[in-house]
Parts: sequence; structure tokens; C-alpha cells
Amino acid sequence: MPVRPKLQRWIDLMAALLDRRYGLTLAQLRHEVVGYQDGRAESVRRTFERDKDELRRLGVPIEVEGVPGDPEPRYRLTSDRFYLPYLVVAGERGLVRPRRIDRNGYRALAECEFDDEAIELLSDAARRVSQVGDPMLATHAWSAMKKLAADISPELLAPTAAVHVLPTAAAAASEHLEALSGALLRRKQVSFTYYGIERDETERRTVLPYGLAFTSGHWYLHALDPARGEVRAFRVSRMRELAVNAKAPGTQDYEIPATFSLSDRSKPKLPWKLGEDPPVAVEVRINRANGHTAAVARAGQRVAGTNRVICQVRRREPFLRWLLGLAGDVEPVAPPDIVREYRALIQRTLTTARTVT
Amino acid sequence: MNTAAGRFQRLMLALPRFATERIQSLSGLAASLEVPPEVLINDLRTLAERYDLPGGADEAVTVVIEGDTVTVEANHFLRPMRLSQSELAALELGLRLLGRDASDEQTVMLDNLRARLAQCIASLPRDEAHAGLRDGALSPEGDTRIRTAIRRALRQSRVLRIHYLKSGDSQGTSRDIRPFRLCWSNGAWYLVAWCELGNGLRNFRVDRVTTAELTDRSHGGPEGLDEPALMSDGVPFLGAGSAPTMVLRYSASIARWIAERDGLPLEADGSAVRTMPLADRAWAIRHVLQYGSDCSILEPADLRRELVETLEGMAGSLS
Repeated sequence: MPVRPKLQRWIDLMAALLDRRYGLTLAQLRHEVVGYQDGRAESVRRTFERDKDELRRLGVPIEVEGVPGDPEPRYRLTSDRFYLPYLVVAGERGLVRPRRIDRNGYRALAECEFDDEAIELLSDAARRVSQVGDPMLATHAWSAMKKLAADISPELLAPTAAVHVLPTAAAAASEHLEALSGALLRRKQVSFTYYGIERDETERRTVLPYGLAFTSGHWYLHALDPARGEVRAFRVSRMRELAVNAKAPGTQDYEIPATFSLSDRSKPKLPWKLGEDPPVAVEVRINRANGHTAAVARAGQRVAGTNRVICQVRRREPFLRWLLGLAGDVEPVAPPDIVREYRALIQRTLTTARTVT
Repeated sequence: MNTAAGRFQRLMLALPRFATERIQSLSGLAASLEVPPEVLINDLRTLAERYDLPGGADEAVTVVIEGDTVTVEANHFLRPMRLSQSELAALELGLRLLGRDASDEQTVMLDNLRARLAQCIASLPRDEAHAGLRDGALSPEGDTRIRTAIRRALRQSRVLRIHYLKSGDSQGTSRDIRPFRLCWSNGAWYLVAWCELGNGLRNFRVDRVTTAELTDRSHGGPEGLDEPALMSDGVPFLGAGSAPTMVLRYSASIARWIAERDGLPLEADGSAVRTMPLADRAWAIRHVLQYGSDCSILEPADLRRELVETLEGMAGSLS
């Protein structure tokens, strides 16, 4: 069906529903909406159902009243559920209210009060999300702010200037992010060819997406890998040939367990804190307090009254390299095997540095 | 987006603009919606041209376009739609990226803000599908009060009084700065500011700012700031153009990570070579050391000698 009549039909359908507080049946809608007047009843019903579903996906809350399967359900779109409430801003100079529209359907709309500091934060949030390399998210944030702009001044909605998130060299493909978002919402299995950088190998993976996280500048898909029986993080920029399961589009392939928390998994962690290996308590001594070593104190637990810090280390090699990068300002003092490994790392690095020509 | 959905969304933003003024300038309206005028004209024509409308039928929207002027009657669309779940999810992610571990005071404000936003969304039967699917953080959290003070200083062009712990400094210094730009790059936030103590432009790592207090002094903004001079290979760096350089080789064991991170090509043997500005020798030594024996200084030779001396000192200190 061509785009133009569909758009006109949508507008007519919404106008008809907004006009009738108690809703309309499809038979009544056929009188009100020009686009439903011609054609066989079954064909019109299919068109209407598609329109209703698409409009709902676009955020139009069309309700169905009646028992499911009822031959004559009523369809409703109420003004209080459709229109944005009037936004009131509380600032130092009191409340700023928008002009209300003196017409039926608009008079009784509720007010929603924001304080001006919260609006500033929201405008910064919209800008921040537009800087993470996902055009779809940027569009959603943009359209949200445009809606709020109906009642809130452009000055207040302007984000803090001169804040930049610089893109990383290896960005995620926007079409992959869009496909993964869709798969997540519909709970559909996805397959992709993945470059495992640790082993320097590519492999076809089939996983069940649980969440998308933007962590430390990269998009990661957190997904259950049934072949390995665990939830793993996949960097989206390392995916190729991504495909979403197209079978049974109307049904979900899986459920996300209630115990899964994307929030916990998406926190940035130091490389030596990653992984599932049991942590080893490593005691380090801070020889010089400065900007670098302050990070050590934050990463571990200071031993009261001393210049020592206990770090819980899951991965030794990254930890020892991290210490090495502090150029002697911090040293490990226990356990002895860690100290030996650190000493060996210094020797290896020294040998390399001496032999470069 | 010229799909029906894209046009619909644009129209649902455009039509409420006619709530107060029925007649508007097309170019002005297009500019406010950040679309080219021809796109908006096409969208509005979609509603204006009703070949299928029987005689006497009411139109939900009437549109008359004359030159740069458009007149619209759209009595059912005088308010914007409520926020969609996708829009809310985008804003929620933005709030998360602004700061996860907010102070108690900010947590109250954020919770309040989320509750208000929840009052502005359209509730649909499948609402729960969006919850918890997106999250993120740019870097490990620092002190949220410091971030808030920086944000306010940038917003209000105010002088900020900070206590800053430089890399090799054990005590730190207090200084008044005029913040111009806040950049996140490779896991850290950098604040570019005019430092009144050093009387020059400086780059401050935000995680080394230990206190930040907004003063009541304003400043005139970053006049004459040379933007390219603030960056080197997309990384905040002052004086990149005038600094000497160093050449590093990363071994094949780690080069693919470096190549991916910095967009470098791999050499035939799987290693990667990078030329970088060398403005701070202590920084350069620490940078090389963090990769252990997998990073070598190819040039300059005197920096390599400095690296050897540093390592000898570290070995001596341990034994």
C-alpha cells in the first residue's frame, strides 16, 4: 500500500478515535475513516489491524475494550493517554506554566512539574546519548526533547556546551545496533561471525540477547551463549554477518531471566578485576603519593594507618602490568609469588628495552 | 526517514506548533524541526492532497501552502504525543551515562526526574519489553560533586577553584581555572581550561581533581581557542603540533588490541608501530611500561635509555 494513503488513514483514524470518548467499533470506524470505506470487510479488518499495531509501535496508545475475540470490540484513544501533559517548570522565580489550549480534549490535561535543574540534566542526558554512536538512540532522544520543547524554553533545553564524547576508532555498525535492538525487544535469537581478539580467531556464534551496554566507549551485547552455557559480552564492532532469527516473528524465542542484571555487567572495570577466577588478595605499598597512585588507593582497600592497599586480583598479568606502569611508585609486597612474578616482569621488560636497536 | 513512520513522527512534532499560530513560515518551521524545508513540504502535502476524500467529508487536518507560508488546522493534534517507550529508554540511558553512582542528593533528584518522565509516557501493553535492556557507563565513577561543579562552571562560564593532584605531585595544588571544554576519550574525562595559576591552557584529568568549587567570578569564554591544537589523533592533547615525537612498537602479542583501539595497521610480523607526541617524558615512560616487554621505544634513543634507568631503579628497589 502506498505511503501517502497510509499516513492519511492513520491521521484520520486517530482523529476519529480522539473525537469519541467511549471509543468506536470497527464498523463505526468504517463510516468515519475514508481509508476504511472501500473493500471487503475482511480486507479492511486486516488493514485496520496493521494500522493499529503500527501506530501502537509508534507510541499511540490505542486501547481495545471488550473480551478478546469479541466480534465487536471497541477501540479507544483518550486524550489524557495520548497528549503530553502540560509541563510546568519550577525555578528560582517560581513556576512557569505553558499556555493551555482552550478546546475540548486539551482543557483537562494534567500538569507535570519539573525543576529547572532536572531539565538541564535531561538536556545533557539527551546530548550524551546522541554521542554514543547509535543513530536510532540519537533520534529517540532528539524527538523526546522536541516534544518537551512545546512547553519548555529553548534556553533551558540547551545542553551544556563543549562536552564531547570522542568516538573510538572501532565503532559499532549502526545497522548492527539497530538489528540487535529489534532482536532484544522481540526476544529473538541472533547469529553473527565474531572476531575473538584474545585467540585471534573468528567463529560463528548463535546467542540469545539479554541487553546492550555502552561501556567505556564500546557497545557490548550481553547474551546467553547456549553452546557455552553462560552469559557473555560481545563487542558489537567485532561482529560481522549479523542475522536475526526470522522464524516465528510473532513469538519470543526466549525470556530474559529475572536474575539477570545488565546494570551490574555494564560497569567499567579494571582489566585485572574482570573474569570469573577467584580473587587473590594482593598487598601493595604506595611509595609515592601522587595522581597515579591515588587510583591504586581507589581500586583497593587501604590498610588503616599505613601506606599499603589490598587489591582483590582476578587476573595477575594485567595487574602486574598496571603496577609496572606506575614506574615504581607502587610495588607489591605480598604474597611472595606475586612479588616474584613482578620481579620477573621487570627483568623481561629491562631485557627488551636494552636489546632494542 | 521517508517511511510512513518517519513522516508520521515528523508531523506529530510539526502539527502542535500550530496550536498558537495557525499561519507559519515553512522555512522557520523546518529549521526548528531540523529538517530541510522540502522534506517538511512533502510531509505536509501528504496531508493536504486528499484525492480519496468524498465530497462533504471532514478532513482531520487541513493544510494550505502558499510560497513560504503554511496554514494548518489540526484540532486533534495541538499537543505533542506523550513520550514513547523508546524515547524514554534513550533518555534513561543518557541519565545513566551522565553518572551511575550519584550522591544521595542527586539520587533523589534523578529518582524524582524519572518519576516525572514516567508521567509523560504513553503506556502500551508491551511496555515492559524496554525495561533494563540498555545500560552503560563511560568510565569508573569519580566524585559526582566534582562533575556537577564542572558542569555548572561550563554552563554558566564561571571560574572554578580546584585542587588538582598532578601525576608526579604528592600534595597537589589549588588553582582557579576557566573551564572551556570537557572531553571523554579512551576511558577518561579531560577538562580543557585556562589555568590562572600557570597562566596558560591546561588539560586536567578529571579523576585527579580532588575538590572543585564554583566561584562567583564569570569569564568571557574560550575566545581565540585553537581547537585543533587541543587534539592529537582524536585525543585531548595540548601543544601536539609543536611537541617532539616518539616511535613505539607494540609486539604481535598485544598489537591487535592497540590496532583496534587506535585504528593502526598491523605490520607484516603482526606488530604495530605508532608515532606519538612526546611532551611529557615521565608520561611516555609510564605508557611504555604498562605494556611490559610487549612495547619498545624505537625512537628517540635517549628516552629508551631513560626507560632502562627507570627499570633498573625499580629492580633495585625490590631486591
